[in-house]
Amino acid sequence: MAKKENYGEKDAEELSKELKQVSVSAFFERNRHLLGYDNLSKALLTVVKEGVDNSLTYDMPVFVRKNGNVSIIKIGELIDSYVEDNKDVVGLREGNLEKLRLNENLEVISFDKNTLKLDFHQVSTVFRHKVNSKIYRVKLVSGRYIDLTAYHSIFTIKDGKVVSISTSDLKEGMPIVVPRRGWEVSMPTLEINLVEEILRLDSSLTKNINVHGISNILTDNFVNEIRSILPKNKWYRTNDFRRFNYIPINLLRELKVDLNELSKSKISFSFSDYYLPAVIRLDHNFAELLGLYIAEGSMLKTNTRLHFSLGYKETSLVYYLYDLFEKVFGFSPSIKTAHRTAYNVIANSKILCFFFKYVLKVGDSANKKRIPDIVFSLSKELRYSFLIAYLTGDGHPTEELFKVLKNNLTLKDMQTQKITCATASFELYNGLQYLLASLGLGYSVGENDPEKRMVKGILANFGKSYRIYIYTDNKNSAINYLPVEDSIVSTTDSRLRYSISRDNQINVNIKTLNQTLAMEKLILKEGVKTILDGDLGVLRVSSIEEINYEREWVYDVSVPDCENFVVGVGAIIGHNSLDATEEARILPEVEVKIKTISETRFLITIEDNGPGIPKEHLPRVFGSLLYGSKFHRLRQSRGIQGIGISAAVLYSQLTTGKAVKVWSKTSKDKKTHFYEMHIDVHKNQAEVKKEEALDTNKPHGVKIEIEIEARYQKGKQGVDEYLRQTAITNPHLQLNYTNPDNEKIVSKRASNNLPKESKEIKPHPHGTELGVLIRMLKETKSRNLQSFLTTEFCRIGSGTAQEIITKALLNVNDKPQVLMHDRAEKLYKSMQEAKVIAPPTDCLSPIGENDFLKSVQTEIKAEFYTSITRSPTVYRGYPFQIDCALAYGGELNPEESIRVMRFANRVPLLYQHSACATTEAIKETNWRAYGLQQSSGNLPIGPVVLAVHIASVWVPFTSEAKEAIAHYPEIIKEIKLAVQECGRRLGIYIRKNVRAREQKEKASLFEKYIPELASSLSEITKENKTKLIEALNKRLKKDLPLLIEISEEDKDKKIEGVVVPNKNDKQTTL
Amino acid sequence: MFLTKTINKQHYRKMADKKPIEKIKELGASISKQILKGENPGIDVPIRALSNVFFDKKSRTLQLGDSSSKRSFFNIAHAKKFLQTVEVAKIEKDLLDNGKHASLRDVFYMAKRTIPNTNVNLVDLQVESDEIIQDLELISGLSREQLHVNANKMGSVAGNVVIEDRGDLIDWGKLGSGGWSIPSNVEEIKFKKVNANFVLYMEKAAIFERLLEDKFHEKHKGIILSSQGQTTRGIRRLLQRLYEEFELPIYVLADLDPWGAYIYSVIKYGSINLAFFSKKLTIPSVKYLGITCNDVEKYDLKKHLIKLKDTDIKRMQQIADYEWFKDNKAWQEEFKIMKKWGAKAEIQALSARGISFITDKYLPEKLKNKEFLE
Repeated sequence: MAKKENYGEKDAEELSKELKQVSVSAFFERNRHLLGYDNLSKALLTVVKEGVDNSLTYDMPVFVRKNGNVSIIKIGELIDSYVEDNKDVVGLREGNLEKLRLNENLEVISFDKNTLKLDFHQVSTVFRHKVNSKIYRVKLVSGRYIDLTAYHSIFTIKDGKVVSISTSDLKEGMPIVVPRRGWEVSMPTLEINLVEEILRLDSSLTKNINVHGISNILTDNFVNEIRSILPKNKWYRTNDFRRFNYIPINLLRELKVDLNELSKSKISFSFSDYYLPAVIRLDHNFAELLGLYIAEGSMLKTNTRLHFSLGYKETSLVYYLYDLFEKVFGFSPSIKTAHRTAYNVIANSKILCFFFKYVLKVGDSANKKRIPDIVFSLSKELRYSFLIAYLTGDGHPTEELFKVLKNNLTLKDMQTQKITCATASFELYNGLQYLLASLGLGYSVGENDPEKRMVKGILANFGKSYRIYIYTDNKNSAINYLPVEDSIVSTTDSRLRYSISRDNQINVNIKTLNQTLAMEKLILKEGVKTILDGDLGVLRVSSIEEINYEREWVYDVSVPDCENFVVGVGAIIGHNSLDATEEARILPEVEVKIKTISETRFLITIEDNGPGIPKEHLPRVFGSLLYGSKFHRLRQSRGIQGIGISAAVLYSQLTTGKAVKVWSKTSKDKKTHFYEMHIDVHKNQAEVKKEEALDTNKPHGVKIEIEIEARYQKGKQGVDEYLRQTAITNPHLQLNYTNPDNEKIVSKRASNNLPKESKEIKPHPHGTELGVLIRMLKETKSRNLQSFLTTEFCRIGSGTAQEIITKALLNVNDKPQVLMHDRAEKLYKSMQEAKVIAPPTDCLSPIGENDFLKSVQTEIKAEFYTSITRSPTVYRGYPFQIDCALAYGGELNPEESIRVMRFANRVPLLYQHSACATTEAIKETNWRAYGLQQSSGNLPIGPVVLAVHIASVWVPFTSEAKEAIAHYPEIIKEIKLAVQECGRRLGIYIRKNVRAREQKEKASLFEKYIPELASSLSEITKENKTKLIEALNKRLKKDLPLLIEISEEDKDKKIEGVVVPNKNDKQTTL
Repeated sequence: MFLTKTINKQHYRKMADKKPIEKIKELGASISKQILKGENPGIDVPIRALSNVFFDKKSRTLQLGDSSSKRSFFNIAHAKKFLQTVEVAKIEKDLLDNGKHASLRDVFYMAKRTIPNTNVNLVDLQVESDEIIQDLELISGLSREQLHVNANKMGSVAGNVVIEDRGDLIDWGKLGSGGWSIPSNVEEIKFKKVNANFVLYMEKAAIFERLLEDKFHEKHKGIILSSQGQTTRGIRRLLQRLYEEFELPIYVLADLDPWGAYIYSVIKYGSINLAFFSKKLTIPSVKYLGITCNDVEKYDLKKHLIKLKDTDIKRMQQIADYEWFKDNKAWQEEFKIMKKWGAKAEIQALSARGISFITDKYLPEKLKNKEFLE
């Protein structure tokens, strides 16, 4: 074997020289990433992901329900808040993609793929990844828009079906799927418990807020409890609490009180006469009052006065509002004439301002106004009331709208076809669109740039404003139309025929479709009926433009089963295709061909069925070695991992000078991109020689062809064996391999389960070496030791961190980056001594008992199989887990030592078997107890294949070559336990089945033994040999049937494992 | 110089083997009789296992119990063993008939052959024939040496002693750097002259060579004796004869570890495997000279300890629990200390104090102060 050191420190010439010395097998062994980065499965997932990068920009609003509370939030803000500081985040592709599986209750609005109905659906995973493409803004005819990467997709309608389409394929005029009907909230919020809401806020905000009318809880016991938390010199206050029957809300935070007992109380600020009821019912009055406030209300900066400004013509509205006030809050506002043209409805209540500002979060000033989140949690009916009230204030025509409000009418009852409203607040503008979408109302939007306008002879400055037009009749809203070409096959209705035959008629009203359908005069395209019955509609693309995007990340969420969610400014349905592939479970299939050109030259072809790699990525993935910071990182990291496929390309180039050929296809209806490229070694980037677009049959996938100089070796350490073993530890993989001798070897897929993806964890303090600690100290972004310890390691909380630092005689505020060596050593020692709980073990991805069993069954012909997966455990701060599978009998050789297959993180280990902990553990096990031959200290002898897999976040190899696992007692013990369990089951099988068979064979030996016995005996006794033989044979005839029986002990034991009937069984009868 | 004198060896052998041959014939006859009667032929084999061994408090030795198992021919599990037993008995009879001695390995090859028309070998491994030889010892009540089967020579002895062996006179003090190698069968040697005050048996051949080179046996008038590892029965019998015939005190020098303790235990109380020969092999008055925990402290050997392995600890517990060790306070204390240290000491650790420290200081001091463990 050639030396396997880091490539990073050598120049290309040295590299080429060294690489020339290795055989194909060694090359494969090292560059297992030729098939992928580490192993086949991971590679495929990597390739899968490489193909489908897509996401939304930070500012895109998304409609979510988190733990039951609905809100509209920027997707970036949402995901950043989850991802940052969350320890379970998985970093992928050099940190370019971050992924977090959510355990929390977070829901978005998605449509069901079958019924096309909208509802809330649970989000399983959130993603963000570094911006790697241009960002486009896709605008629809009504004015809604969404910002997307080139690869993200949204939905369109094609031939009556809802299908996804990626941004790069979008064209103006295409129909894009949006919510058409609204949605009901399954459990609308009915009341606000003010005490509860206030307690949720920061205590600094809630100073001086008191809860009144609490005599029911002010018992002696309770007073004592209060005293126990008050300093002694404040005890007198409890007398006040009793006398005035109240308690400061901040005190309540520290006491255990059932909030239900406070439902009759009232809330106010100290020294104020205004009280709010503790429980506010969310009824029509409340919704209307809130709607009016969002339109007309404001508050003083001092937060002491709430006022509504109404026009002088709106006298009746003034009184309407006055009434609402009394009904909702139980007190009357004052009405003032502000100036010649306006009335003000005023409440000088600090607690009311507080309620609006902090609890409802109505937005501070006119251009920050927003629809309070609570509105989206209301029932559809109350949402409608809110909207009407809001429109009465902000919309036009005001008088007609007021009529609707006052008389509980609907927009349909109005004369006006279109209501116009305008606002300076972007958030309100977006919120209103979601509100309208949630109510299923058609609308369109527009923006006014800032301008100066003459108003009544005065030049006034108008800021940027947003307009929304709401259609009172569905007929006028584009959302209620479907494209003719995608919905209708034919119709016999003359009116409809006439209207669609007109040249410019490309849309048809859904209502018309439904009516014509009811008259049976219409044939729809397949699937259109579902659209008609569903909640979705379409709007056409009006423009696609590239925009500037300055943030680092783009975002996406995954909704299992739906793979879509309502997002965008105005509601549009986005498609999360990233997780879609994963959830869609493309089971990997890989084809490897090695063709001999000459004895030392081979053409290697590898083809997969992944989703392909987008054209733009191809040169970078295959044509630049160790790009970016990887090159430097490699030196310190572990050997050659991470060089990736490009290393293979380089190797090919250095040895044969041939260019690599790559074919990639990302979806069925796209062309295959073909590239022929070199690596420009000086610039370290791809040099494309040839580029073509081809038509091929395959749906998707990547194929590469590389010619290299190498040597082909068969046997235990060759490529064939490597691939075979790879198939064993990757049961979900279908591997078709053609070796240089033109033999086809097919490893069938044994399992349809994709492996659970392993999570990355932070280092555990007990598993960190001094050198690593010093490096971490240098590289950390933490400003002090305290945060260094808590953020860079797992299982260290602030208490433990402090303890470690104090014990090392250091200061929590010391800067990690400048810590001297001797101090780092002290810190290291202190870390080792600290009591820290073991690291989490759920980050591992074992092969799993069943899958391991299945793949061993497909790869090895035997008669008995069994497997076991141990529970995860820990060595030196690193979690690890052992899988073990055993095959016995069949075509395996009974005369030789058993065959041991060793795997670490699904990668076969082919070399240095005697130095490996696995071998050691097997040798230390007593196999004689399980029915195999074994001389002590050696591998047992018998027809057995024993496959042992260790999964760990850090597999301890004995050397950089990564060929043998180091002898940690914990690891040896676990392997032994796994191996022993398999051995025990084998023992039972052997005793029960094999022994029975052997007994039959042995019984047949009696007649052969008899002459031997007689002959020896006659030599001792001089007795007649023939006589003895006769007597013995006579006895044998009588006894034979009694001789064969299974021992009682094993009769009841169950065989654990899979038994494949042995063909030989039939022949071994007596 | 060799003292040699030829006696009528042939005659001597013939006389000695008269009885064993009869025993084998008896066995054969009993089997034949059963067969001809139409019975399932069987042999009673006493059980050689801890379960059939008891510690006789009176003689303070391990003794074999009465349990035996029947080995019969028409039994799938026994058939081959039965055949092997008869075969080996036949081989032993041949040896006795011809007055020849064979090694264990020889017997294996004499028995090993493929049974006609099968792919079964009568014996596959030497352990199988060795087992049968032991069984036959129990069945006949004779040692294998008496049945003319010898084990490999494993030990050496030196001292001011002259013996006669098969007619040859041998002076144990004049055999150069190797000493006299102790045969498997010492039954028939005769002591002509024994001039010694004690016998020192040591576990390690290397230490024996050291003492021999330093002429320890001459300076201190002792017989030195060693094996490599476990004590063979030839050595044990030789020790016993020296003790019984000349009343020489026997001292054991072994490593301070469970294995060393067991070597001592075997000499003193007998072994589980050879419990049926306890009478002929054990020396209840043997004393343990070292290495002891106290030695480690006294001679400052703590730096030269070796860490106990898991198997060491397990074995130590086993030995500590043996009935014959249970009430031995001195040994229990040794085990306790070893456990506390988590370490053991080899005899060679003494070399750390100087190559001849053991001959010049350690042994003389120990013998003078009579610092022994019972």
